[in-house]
Amino acid sequence: MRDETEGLIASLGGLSEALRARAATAEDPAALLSTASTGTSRDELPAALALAARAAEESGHAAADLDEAASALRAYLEHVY
Amino acid sequence: MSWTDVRAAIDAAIEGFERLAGVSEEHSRDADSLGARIATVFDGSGNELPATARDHTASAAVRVGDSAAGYREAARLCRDYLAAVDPDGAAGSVEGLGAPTPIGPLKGGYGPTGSPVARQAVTDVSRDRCHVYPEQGPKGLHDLTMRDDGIVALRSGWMDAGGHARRRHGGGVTEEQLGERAEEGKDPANGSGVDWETGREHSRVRHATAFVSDTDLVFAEAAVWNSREGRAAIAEAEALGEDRVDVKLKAAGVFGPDFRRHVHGRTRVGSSANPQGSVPTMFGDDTRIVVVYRRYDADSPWRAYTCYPKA
Repeated sequence: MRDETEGLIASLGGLSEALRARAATAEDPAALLSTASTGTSRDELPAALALAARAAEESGHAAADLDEAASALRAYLEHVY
Repeated sequence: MSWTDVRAAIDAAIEGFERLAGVSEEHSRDADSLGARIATVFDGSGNELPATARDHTASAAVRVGDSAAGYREAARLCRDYLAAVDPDGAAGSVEGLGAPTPIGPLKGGYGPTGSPVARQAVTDVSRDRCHVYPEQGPKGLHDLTMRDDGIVALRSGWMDAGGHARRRHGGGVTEEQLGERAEEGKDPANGSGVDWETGREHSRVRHATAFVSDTDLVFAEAAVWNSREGRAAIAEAEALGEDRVDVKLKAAGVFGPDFRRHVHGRTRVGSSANPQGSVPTMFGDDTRIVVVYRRYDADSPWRAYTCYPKA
């Protein structure tokens, strides 16, 4: 049980890190689009930029959720062992 | 940055958003599977901490799933945009375009011997190729100038067939012609007091204005048509079954703050009955680009009847 819990904590940490890294990468296509959309009189590109920003933000929140999950399991380990 | 660069950047952004969506979907599945493992490992433990961990993991899976959907939607919006402004991937070019076909009756052609002959409107075959110039804002004029492979001539021809924009306000109209129009009521289209369009007396205007070049005129008309205001005005006219619509845009919005480099004119001094010469037109900050669109009936296409800078 202890080994499995530690394995889960490591997996949660790994996924959280991957999400944070991805949120940083997400700025790349958004930066490209931001440059390309200067001067547009249409709604699509600004709307796409807003969605991409929200998606990156959600990834950040998800990473925080996974950190919370890992903390809860760490607390469980301390409590039980 | 030309449209070619803009298009490449949007294509790369679409690819990036799709890649991020794919990775997000994978991460959402990973979070789901971690939640399931937590549930299995701590099944029946009765401790609330693993349950808390499971809830947070489930929340993460939902958030990452939402994130994936957001990236997919962003990619879709970018594709919709390209479909609207560059439907065949050949924006800005005349390559592969068919020849325009005549529509409606012969119009204009009045005036002394040697006046330009009557015009007949033609279909607009290049409209969808030129949205991308004004889509770049005022910088699009530079792109149009640099990459013009015949699109300015094609659009000028379309305007000549559908109205008098270029004959009265195009790049070929001289200061002298503008002065004669303001002072003596001479139509720049035929150099006489007879209105080339109607055959009646040409009305005197206080400000006789024109664009510095045909490229400026073509860009201005495209900017007005492509603008929010232009699209809304056309949609409203179509909904109401109207066959004429006047659209005005601020010249500074079309050409940028140095819009005065793209327009010129002569302003009459004195009344029309007693003209005292003319002076260069002062274009204030509120100068507008005006385009009058007309169509023969609800089934015929819109044409630019005229397009001019309004001081």
